[in-house]
Amino acid sequence: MKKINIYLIANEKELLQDEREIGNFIRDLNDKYEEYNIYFKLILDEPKIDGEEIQSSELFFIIFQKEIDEKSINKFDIAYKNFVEYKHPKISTYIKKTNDTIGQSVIEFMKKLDEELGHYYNSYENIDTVKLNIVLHLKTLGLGKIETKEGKIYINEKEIMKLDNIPIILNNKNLETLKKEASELEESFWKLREELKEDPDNDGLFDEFTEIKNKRKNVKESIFELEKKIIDLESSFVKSSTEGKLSKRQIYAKKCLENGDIEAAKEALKLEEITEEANQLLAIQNQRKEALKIKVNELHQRADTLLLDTNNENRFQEIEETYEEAMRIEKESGLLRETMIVYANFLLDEEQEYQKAIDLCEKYLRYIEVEELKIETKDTIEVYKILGKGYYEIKKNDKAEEIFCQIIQLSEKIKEYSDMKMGYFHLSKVYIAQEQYEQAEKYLKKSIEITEKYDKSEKDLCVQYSTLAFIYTTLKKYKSAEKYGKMAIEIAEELERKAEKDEEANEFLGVVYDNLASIYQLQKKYEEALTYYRKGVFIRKKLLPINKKEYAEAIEQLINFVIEVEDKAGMDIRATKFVKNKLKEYEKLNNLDKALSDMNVNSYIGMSLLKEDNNYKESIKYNEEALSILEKVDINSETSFEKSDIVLAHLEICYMLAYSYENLNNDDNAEKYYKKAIDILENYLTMYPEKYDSDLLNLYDDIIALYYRIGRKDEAKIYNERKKKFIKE
Amino acid sequence: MNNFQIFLASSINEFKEERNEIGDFIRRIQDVLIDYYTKIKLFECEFHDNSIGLGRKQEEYNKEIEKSEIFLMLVGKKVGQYTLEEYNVAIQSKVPNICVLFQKVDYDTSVREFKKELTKDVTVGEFENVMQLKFLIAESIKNIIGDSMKVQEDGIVLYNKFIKY
Repeated sequence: MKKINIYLIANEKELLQDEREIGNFIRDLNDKYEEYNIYFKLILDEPKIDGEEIQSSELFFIIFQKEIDEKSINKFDIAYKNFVEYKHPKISTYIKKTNDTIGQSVIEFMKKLDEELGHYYNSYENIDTVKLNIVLHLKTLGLGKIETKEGKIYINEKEIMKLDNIPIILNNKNLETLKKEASELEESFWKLREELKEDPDNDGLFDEFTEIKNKRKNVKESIFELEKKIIDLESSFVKSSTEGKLSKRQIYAKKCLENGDIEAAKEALKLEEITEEANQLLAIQNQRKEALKIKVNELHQRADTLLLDTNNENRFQEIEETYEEAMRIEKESGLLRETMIVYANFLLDEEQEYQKAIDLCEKYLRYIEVEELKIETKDTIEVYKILGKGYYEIKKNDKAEEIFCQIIQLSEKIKEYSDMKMGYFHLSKVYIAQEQYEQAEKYLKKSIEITEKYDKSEKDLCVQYSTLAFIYTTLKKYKSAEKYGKMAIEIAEELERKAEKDEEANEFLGVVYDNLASIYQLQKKYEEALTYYRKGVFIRKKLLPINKKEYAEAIEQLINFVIEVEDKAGMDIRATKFVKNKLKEYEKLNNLDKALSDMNVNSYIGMSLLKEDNNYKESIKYNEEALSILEKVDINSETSFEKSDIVLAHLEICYMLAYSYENLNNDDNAEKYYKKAIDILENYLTMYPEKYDSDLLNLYDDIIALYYRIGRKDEAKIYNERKKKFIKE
Repeated sequence: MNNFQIFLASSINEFKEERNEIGDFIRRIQDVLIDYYTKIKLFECEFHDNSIGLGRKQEEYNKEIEKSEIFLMLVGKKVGQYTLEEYNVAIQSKVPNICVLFQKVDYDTSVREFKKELTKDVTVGEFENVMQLKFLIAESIKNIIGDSMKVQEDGIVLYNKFIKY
């Protein structure tokens, strides 16, 4: 059962009867609400009652007549403070109108309500006014269906009170006239009815009766309508008075109505005056909105600035906090909530938080719909772009397809070709993801057509040609694939040349070389494939060391190709695969794993420089870096790398360094690294005795040869002994 | 929830103030009983839907009398036609507690005649003021509530809570 507390202060002895009437009324309400499982508890003011009872009440009534004591005022203050903070209890203040003189305490309290708090107080002569207020409060609390019918109030279709004593009803001139007319018509109606019973065939009498009957019905309906309107007005007034401050104008107009003076009420609520005042307030509000908009822009600028702060590891988190704050300000101030889209873009592009970006866009579109805001088609397209890309990334292809179709439709409507092109391009990507290559080809060609005809963006064309080449490759249409692959290269070469040492342009060209190479490889045109794989490696080499990861991958690709087609790579396949696998996981790694990956990348480049180009000097540079990373790492820490792989990588680095230094005639360093390599491998075989490794024999031979060459025969002998021991074991 | 109903029969205008006091008194009793899953309902024709025709209205009232545990009748200077009919319905329906309370005023013939008709199953009482009236009503309610309620001169004690008349 839901209990609703109603707190009542009516402490003067003159008000005892009113208090009991309210009590009895509440009892009756409880009977009426029984089936709704609602119980109203009237809490009468008693000295032992504390503030908690007031704070937990839904309604708070304070009634006074001649005097009001300090304790009652204190309780009113508790209720008022709680209302300001938590919006309950709803407060109603009543002064009973009598011929008695009002005491000083009441005058001061009324002044406080008027001037300090702006709280409206009612006056009443008949307690029904208070009862009606209670009923209308129940309406504001959403409790029950409240209706007016024939001068009575019904709650949930049960009569609860009569309206005869309510001033706004009692003094309404129009209602009075209607009621008077209704009474006269009632009298005539019954009189004529009797006469008609006596003389049923009298047509004139019947017509007169019918006319009176219709008039009676119409007047009754008019009374019903007017009473309903009056109670609706009263209800709105109660709602306003409990929600916050009422203006003096409202209070005055209400009093006029209670006195039956509708003209004076209308005069008080003059349209021109209210509009003028409202316009002044709107101007102030607009100024404030402008100022708030600037604050939102400042926050956007802060987010953009943070994005540049690449050394700050927490920048993404700080950007998120910044956008959240901007969104809050927009929401609370009623500004257009555009940050949602800016934030969604950030989440999509920078954080790859696709679902979160989608949720924000959906929320934004709902907001636009609910608020009935009109936004430019171009802006709608921007929102759809985020949605489409987001759905594509989370592989919700049906949704992505639907969104990109909408983008195409909208952009066709406003002839926005770049968006149309983008829509077709992404639609083709959605079909590629679903392996529907014919559809993909169809839409990609539309996209290319727009690029070629309108904006002629070289970069876009290059991507489009390259993607088309990919589609044709998958469809085994190699001739077309070659054609578009070459077209892509032509543009990419030009872009790379123009951009000079631009990382993006460089990688772009590298990729299109690799793509064409793989097209040739699939056609078993190995010579051509080798040419383009090599081009891929060489173009990336131009930018070393900033793109060492990409360079390493290109070399790996080249080596894999050579292994596959010639089987004479002479490379360490184990190391190649190791790097390949780890690179794929690179982005997901923890810091330690990243360090180890970096080490591997360096070592791999070092190895390739050594074996491809015999470039000892450069190889040493990369291997030294790899070694410095490795020596900082605690290999016993938690990492996704196998410990044995790390040991072997360490060995390879040392061996490459020794080999490179020896070739550069730096014998001291060569000796140092051979020794190190031998130690590592010996330890490794102690840890894994089941693994026989002939590399150790080679290492012994290498260091023995070195010692002989530089004339340190004793040391050569020592290693010779170690070698023999190893063989024996 | 245990529900029981008190039907209050009297002339509305004559006992307006008393009816208010009784209603408020019942409310205060109810505030205690609600925590013990008991609902006490006071049926007064004043609060009943008057929109139905007079004849049918009385029929509705009679139905309410039949389902009441207490029939409470206040008698002032005279006994009205409808109040008398309600009393007869209560007798015929064998309402468990029928309580007729006479105000100490100068009666007219209708009251004297009515007094002659009272059977011994009916609890009869007299009151001079509202306090006494509430005392008599409390005793009737005690018949239903039982030992959880004590009736005192200044008020009742219900589940250890004091309710002043």
